[in-house]
Amino acid sequence: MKRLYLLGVAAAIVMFAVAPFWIMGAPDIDVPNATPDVLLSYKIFFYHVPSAMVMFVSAFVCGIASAMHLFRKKPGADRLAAAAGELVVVFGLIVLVTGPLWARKAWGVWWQWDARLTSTLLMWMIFLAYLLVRRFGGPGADRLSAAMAVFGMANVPFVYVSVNIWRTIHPTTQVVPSLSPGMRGPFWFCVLAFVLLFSLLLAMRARLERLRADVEHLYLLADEE
Amino acid sequence: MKRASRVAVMSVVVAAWVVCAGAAGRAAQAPSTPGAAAPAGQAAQGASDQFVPVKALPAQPEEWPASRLVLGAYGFIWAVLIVYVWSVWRRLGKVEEEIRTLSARLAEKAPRA
Repeated sequence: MKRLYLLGVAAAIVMFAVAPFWIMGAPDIDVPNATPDVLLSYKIFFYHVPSAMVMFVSAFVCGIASAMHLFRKKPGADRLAAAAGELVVVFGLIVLVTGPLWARKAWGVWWQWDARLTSTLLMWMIFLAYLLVRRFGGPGADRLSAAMAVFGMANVPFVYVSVNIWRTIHPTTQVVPSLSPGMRGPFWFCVLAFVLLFSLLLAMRARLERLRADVEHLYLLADEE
Repeated sequence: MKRASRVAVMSVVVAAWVVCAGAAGRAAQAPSTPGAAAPAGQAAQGASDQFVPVKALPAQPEEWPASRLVLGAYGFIWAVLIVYVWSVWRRLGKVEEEIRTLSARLAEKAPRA
């Protein structure tokens, strides 16, 4: 198992080292009258969108594991939810920072209170609150935070379709299916790299929760003796 | 690996990244310096309190070149991931140490019982 994990780490390092070269060599997106400066800013897309995808996956993992903890009282599921919840916040932070860096060049502003941006921010804050409740909520905080995670997961489909329902400044969900063949390769390579990274981080973080449970068990044993 | 060594390794990685990102940022900025922004005094003189059509406005030099934004985005992602991995690694180290201490304490008590 450890060998498989190390293999995954090595693969992720190689993929993230190769990705920037492939991205820089990819053809520019087809935007009429775009200056070279604006076209260069589109390179952020290759990391921004996969980060958002992984954030959604992480929210689903956290929500489903939390539901299992709530309804089936599985401690293992709660530990997985805690790990995934933290990763929603990490990848959400990446999305919320790289997006405005791209927007400054593509839209001319850092931030717009449009449906996609606002709903993503709200979702990120729900999972931030999830972590805070877990950390400072006291007895019963695991079940309270699990309920929050289920609501956070329910938010994901709304965030995804928000760009199609409320047409504002953010591009629709049709951007990825309509990518040119030259852009598809590096884009899906980056998605794969981010999914691999997410899996490795989730395993690492879940191990921390498992060891913490072991520590609690050892403290109980020490008190009994 | 001991925790101090881990911290030292991570510090070196973060420091190397900061140096590389800084150098790359300066390199990316260099071509844009001849057309730098006008001094504040000139900008104040040029200010108008009347309506000016957009087409009549003087061209503004771009204060945020794309290269700086792209480097910033990629650098930020790397920084966040490095700090996060380091944070989980540190927490793992602490918990493993706690487990060792508790196990030793329990093993000491066991023969007496």
